[in-house]
Amino acid sequence: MKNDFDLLALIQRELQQIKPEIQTITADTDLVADLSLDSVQVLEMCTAIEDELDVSIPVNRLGDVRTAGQLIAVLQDITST
Amino acid sequence: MANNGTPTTHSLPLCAARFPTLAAALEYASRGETGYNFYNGRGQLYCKLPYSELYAQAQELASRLVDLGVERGSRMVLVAETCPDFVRFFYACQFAGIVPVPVPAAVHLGGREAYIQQLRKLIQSAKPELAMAPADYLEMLETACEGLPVQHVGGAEYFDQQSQNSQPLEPLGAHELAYLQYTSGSTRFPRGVMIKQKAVMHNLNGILQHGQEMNENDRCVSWLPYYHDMGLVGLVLAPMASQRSVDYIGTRDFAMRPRLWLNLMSETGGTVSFSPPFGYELCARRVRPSDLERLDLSAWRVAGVGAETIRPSSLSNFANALQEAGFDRRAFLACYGMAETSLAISFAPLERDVHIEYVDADRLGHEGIAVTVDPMIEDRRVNRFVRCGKSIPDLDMEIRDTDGDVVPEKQCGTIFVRGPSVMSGYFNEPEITAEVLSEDGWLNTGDMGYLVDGEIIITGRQKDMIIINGRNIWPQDLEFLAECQPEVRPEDASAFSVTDDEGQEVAVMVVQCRQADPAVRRDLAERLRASVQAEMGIDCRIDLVPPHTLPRTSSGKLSRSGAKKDYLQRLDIKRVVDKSSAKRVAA
Repeated sequence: MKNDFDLLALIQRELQQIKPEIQTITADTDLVADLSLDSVQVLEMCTAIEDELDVSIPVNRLGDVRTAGQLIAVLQDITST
Repeated sequence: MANNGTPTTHSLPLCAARFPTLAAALEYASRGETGYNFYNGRGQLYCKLPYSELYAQAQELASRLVDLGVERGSRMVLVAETCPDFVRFFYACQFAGIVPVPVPAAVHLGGREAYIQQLRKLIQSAKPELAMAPADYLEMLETACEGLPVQHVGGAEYFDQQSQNSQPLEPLGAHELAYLQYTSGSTRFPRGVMIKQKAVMHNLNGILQHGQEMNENDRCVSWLPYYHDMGLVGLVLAPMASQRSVDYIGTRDFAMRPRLWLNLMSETGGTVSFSPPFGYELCARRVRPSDLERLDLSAWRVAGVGAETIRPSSLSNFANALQEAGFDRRAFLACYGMAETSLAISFAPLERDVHIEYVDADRLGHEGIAVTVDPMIEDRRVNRFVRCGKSIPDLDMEIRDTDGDVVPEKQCGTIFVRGPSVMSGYFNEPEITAEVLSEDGWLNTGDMGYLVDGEIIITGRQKDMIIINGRNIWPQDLEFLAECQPEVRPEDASAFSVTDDEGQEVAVMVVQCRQADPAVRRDLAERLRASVQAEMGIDCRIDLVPPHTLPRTSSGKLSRSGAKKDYLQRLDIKRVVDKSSAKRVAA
């Protein structure tokens, strides 16, 4: 079980792998609007996070995710059950 | 078989879709040992569903659907995730006399609302009595159905809990619909293609016997979405109708880990698989050197490629990258088709590799005549097109000019087809149907192309044609120029024309741009304009927009007409703003 801070660091690390120009992100960073991620990059990020945490992110949960904080909430939810 | 899926070979003699209906085809397949196999995102088999079991399960479920008391020919919307429940419900509908309507199962990041709206539009069009979604999508389906007269909305369990009707089942007959297909048209104005049983059976026979020459050692692999015509007809119905086994991975799992497709082909000894060009491109980019020793793709006999425009380079990248793993480029099978003809119109000959036509771009643009050139020798602008073969048996194809007259070979025109595979029309849309389907059965495909040696070459979509100073400009050509820029990726650009204040047609290209820096954006727009100017000799307005702005059809293709509509709207808003700020300045 990781805390929110670890997860934010993980997301930032994976995003920087995909887009090196990405700097510090916060829980409020809008993944699509602020970082201009396209759908392939979103899936790349999800793949990396899934591999790192050994979880599977359900497809329907992503529909509500816009910010890094919302993604963290989803990850906390699926790792706790 | 190492992974314990259904076997590749069995003793049941192969019958290539010579059945009156899908229900009859499944009954025959149930006498063998083959079936559908489902793999998870890690590439592990999680469900094997032999046709024998599927047949029994579908009939049981059908008796429950019948007991709900809906009228014969009612529609049932199925959110088409790649999973055993989809096929169970699809065939249950066949036995229950209900028309299944597969709809997309794809939500993007932050895209919940857009997806619900899309579902709602589809439901308003298909007017179903029943609707089913897998657990992940159920809540969104329920929201989409709110206030609409859908009698029963639920997950698989909901329908499985209904009581069974004891009356004998009356499967959909040869002259009834087999399904409604929502691939064509935009997401905002969806059109349900009505395909009768006899139409899809004819097309399946053409695919299996003429196109792929399916044989007793074949095994299929697919990641194509079930809600897409190529995924549904080509890789769900065709394998069943020829009693072959199929191995499935989810579309999203493929997009996340494209190498899963290759792993599965290698592990199961798959011989037949299809993809739009981008699937091959994605694999070529992601394949690792260590994969090449591990993978054995030598059994891959048919690597089907279907899409509007096949860019030869994406295929050669794939073939080069995987040659060492035993992939033979002669497996590439270019084909042409659309939901309106069930699926297939034509197939290139087997074992040929893609056959590329190099034609003089200026003469094609000015005169609509395809003059073959040697790109190594002649110093001209060249269009590269892929030959998509001859039409399947009993499907007539002709090319007509704007007056409706049939044109000779090598002359460009609109492609018309006629034959038993053609749709009965668009559901509840008699006017739109009459626009494309004549009383004597000819379907206007809306596509532009020409014939050479009886083979069809697709040059573009008729409605997308840009005509500047009497010259035909293919939007793909403009978009290709955009994609040549390092910042621009495939499918980031959409080109079309608008009429300016003087009534002149002007080319416009909307380009998705991830750069925020105004200087970088200006530079990109300038480069694009200059490149279009240099290559095509026309002026082109460049409109840079954020990613995800370009609208898509439900099959995921970029919609140029949608992009044009959005562009004109942005222009109108800008005009109003400009005017009001001008007034303020004047005041």
